[in-house]
Amino acid sequence: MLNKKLFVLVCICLLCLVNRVAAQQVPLTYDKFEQLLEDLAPEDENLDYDAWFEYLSALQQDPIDLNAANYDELIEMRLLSDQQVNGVLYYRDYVGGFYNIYELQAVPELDLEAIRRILPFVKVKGSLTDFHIPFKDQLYKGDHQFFVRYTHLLQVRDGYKYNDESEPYYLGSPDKIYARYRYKYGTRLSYGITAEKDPGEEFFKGTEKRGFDFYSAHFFKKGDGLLQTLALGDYEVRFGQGLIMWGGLAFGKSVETIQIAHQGQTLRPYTSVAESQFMRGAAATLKKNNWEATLFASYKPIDRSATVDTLAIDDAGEIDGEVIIDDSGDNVTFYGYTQDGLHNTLTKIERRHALHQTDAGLRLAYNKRNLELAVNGVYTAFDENINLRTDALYTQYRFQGKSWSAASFDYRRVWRNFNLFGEWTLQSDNAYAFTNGVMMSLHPNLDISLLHRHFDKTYNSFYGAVFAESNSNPAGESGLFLGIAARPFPQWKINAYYDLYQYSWLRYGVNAPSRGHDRFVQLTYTPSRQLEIYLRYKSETKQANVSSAVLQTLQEEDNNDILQPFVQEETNNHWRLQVRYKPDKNWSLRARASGTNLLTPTAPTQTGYLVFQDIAYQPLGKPYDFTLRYALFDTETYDVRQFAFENDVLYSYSIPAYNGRGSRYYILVRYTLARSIDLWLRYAQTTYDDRDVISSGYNEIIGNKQSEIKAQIRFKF
Amino acid sequence: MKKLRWAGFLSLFFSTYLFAQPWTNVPDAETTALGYCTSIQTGAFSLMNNPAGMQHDSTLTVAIFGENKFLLEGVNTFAVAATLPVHFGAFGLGVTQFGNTDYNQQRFSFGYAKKLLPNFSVGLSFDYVQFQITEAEGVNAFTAGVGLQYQPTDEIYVGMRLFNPFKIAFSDFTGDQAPAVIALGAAYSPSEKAKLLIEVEKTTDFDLTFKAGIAYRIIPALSLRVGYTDNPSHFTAGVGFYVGRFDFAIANDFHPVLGSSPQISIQYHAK
Repeated sequence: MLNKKLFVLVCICLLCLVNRVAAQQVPLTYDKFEQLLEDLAPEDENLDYDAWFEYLSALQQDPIDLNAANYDELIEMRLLSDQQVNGVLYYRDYVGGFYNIYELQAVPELDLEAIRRILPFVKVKGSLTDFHIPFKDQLYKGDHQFFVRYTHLLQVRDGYKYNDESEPYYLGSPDKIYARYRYKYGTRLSYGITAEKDPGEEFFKGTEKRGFDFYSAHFFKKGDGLLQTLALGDYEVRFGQGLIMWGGLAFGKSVETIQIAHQGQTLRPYTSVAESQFMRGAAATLKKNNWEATLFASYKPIDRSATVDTLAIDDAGEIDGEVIIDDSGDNVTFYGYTQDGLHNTLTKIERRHALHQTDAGLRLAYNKRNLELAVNGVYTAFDENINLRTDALYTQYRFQGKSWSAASFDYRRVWRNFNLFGEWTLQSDNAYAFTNGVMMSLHPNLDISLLHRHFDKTYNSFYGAVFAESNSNPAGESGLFLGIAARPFPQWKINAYYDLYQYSWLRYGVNAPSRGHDRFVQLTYTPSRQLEIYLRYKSETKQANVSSAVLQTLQEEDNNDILQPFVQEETNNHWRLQVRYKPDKNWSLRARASGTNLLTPTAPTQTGYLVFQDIAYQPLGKPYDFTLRYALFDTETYDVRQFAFENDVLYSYSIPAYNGRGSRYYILVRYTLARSIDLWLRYAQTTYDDRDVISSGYNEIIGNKQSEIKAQIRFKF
Repeated sequence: MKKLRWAGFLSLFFSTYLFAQPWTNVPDAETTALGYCTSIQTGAFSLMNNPAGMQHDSTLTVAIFGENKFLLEGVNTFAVAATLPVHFGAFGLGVTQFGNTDYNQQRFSFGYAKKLLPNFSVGLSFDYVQFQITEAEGVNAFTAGVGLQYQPTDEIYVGMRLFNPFKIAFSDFTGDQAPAVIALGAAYSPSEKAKLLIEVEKTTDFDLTFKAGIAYRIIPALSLRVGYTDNPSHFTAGVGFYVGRFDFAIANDFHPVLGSSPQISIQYHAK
């Protein structure tokens, strides 16, 4: 014991002398989270980051105790690689526990950057007092938060206007209202209610007498005995690599080229407002020694989708998801369901909650530090027959029937520098799929990842989210991913990946089995904590149908008889250059230029650009801060639109697409009215130079400006 | 008829601007030689491009500039600008004159720059622009620009300039908006002698433009400069002489179709 203390003391003294990095506590700010998010999140407008941000915010208030943390809790932060988490746990076992946070620097797997990242979220206390607080104290001695968010578009869309004295198409006001109450006792206990009114939905009248269109409530408790986790109300379930079950955000191919495994806790509370991808009922995890069992059951109403006649074009005049436009067959029976959660027209109100979905499942896992093995089962049933196959050939292997079940086996094994993981599933209708990967740390400065996946064309999953080219519906895909992260020189980092994949069946917009590959490389130069410069290049090559316009031209030109769109190879090249700089602790600046060009054999190259500058002034200890952006964008077509993360009011995040030609700016201000009251105000405006009418159909706006105002107030008590 | 005249004016206006990007202001001969990387420009003429650059000099600076476009008669630009540093920032004043009696434009610029932090400056400029064609009613516009410059390390300089962000429309015009410009650039200067500059510039209605420049101060009194700009791709080159408190610069822009445009600028730094 003495030896150990001596060892630690020497370590601390040395480390304090050599480097004082760990002494600087960095609070979680927008900037910090944004950076994490932007590095990890796929470019998509409709992702929901709440859960992750909330987890980190909760940890900031109640950091993880390094001496009590388990693998799941550490990996859930998504701030450390698997190797690093295991390094921390191994070190803890080796020395018998952390004495001081400075000891993190003695963990060989952790570099300074990693320590900086996790520092706000971890602590060394060496006590387990949290669990000894009586349950009834945990019930009310934590933090309460209540907030309301209001979003208003200054321009009026066509569907909200009285045309020729007829009633507007949408039932309610175009405003969006969101309200949430949440109680949290660290990460141990939480309960709350979330409510939302989407644009066009009525509010406390007409079809929405009960107020909001969507309500969600949860109660979530973690314990240390046999009952590890209890979830009541709305919750999310995550199994293995997400082949059959993965609630919430799942990351795919990103600049984090090594972190390709799905990791996280099996049960989580659900607090978002995506009105479909969650469980409603009860779930529990029981633990005995190395064995863990999770059971869940859920029953919830879902919306029926339109019938074939009206399906192709939805009420807003837009193409409805992956549904094919060409619906000539009249005897097709397509009984689907829709997940957009919008109930803003009479038709949608009729279809609301017309179906019910029952889900149940279990997971039995054997857990050791370096080994996890689990078997999972999921059963889903609808109260009437569902048929997701339309006339379109590409839907021919989709689900039909009343119930569905799947079993899977997943594993994770840490062996020396290797972390092996994977999942295999067998489903009703004999569909199968598997994914296997390995993350290797060949050298402290060189990591490699490799993943192979294969999905039968009949593969289905109602809640899955798996690492693949197409995260949401990878049926028929097989692929091989190779990722590299290297730090060849002290301030330089290279991240790169290559992904090769093919589909054994048709897909939406691809009238033949197809193949493709992605190449990605990013060079990051970080000469100091204040400055980061990166250059990114990504090229995506895949096959897709020739566009109908090109097809028509070809038909006219050659006077030939090409009737069906044929498949051709397209290459999308993206590049991006970004400079991020913090001249001091209050200011941060970010400038970016990005561009895309799309090369197809039958049409001229299409290009798109975006250039923007961000300025943020977030003075420490002042009751206010502000963020500004000005952007110019110019994209020839929607296919070369540009994505960029935008700052938003707390807990609201977006990565919108900049499409067309024009400029956009936003200003975001936060003001702390009192100790417990915060106010956010955001004004964003896009001005288009290439159009006088924005959007179309019922969403049409006359004019070239689109301005949105958003206000949020939060009470903490 | 009036409309027609305006259409003529408009086409002339834009054809004039085809020579360069719209709102390409007065870069000074040094910046031209370095491929028009205006976002990291310093000195008196930074007022017209990136006003944050006015913070660079600690004494009164006065500069003049002259350019003849494509060796043609009547397409000359003359400009004069001055920067006065005060204890709470720096003020700048400048006038630009382009054209002849048949067609001409004037631009009056006023700016203020401040060092928010030792390595971070911001600047604002306010511009009044007027165009005049013989016999036609003149048009004018007020607009503004904003710029940032920062030096994250000893060797790296970064700049951003934004001009006419709200796409101000000209008075009495058909409502057409003048384009907005945003440019991001960086300079890498590993020693006193050598400097490498890159920039991307986006002007609404125009393609993204890449620019690059290299300067090498071969002896303390002489600097050699070469630059590149695309859309259309062409080279620029020039030399600079440093004589006492005067900086002399000459430059030429080699346009692939329209030919040479020589420029000269002289800058004086007061004590």
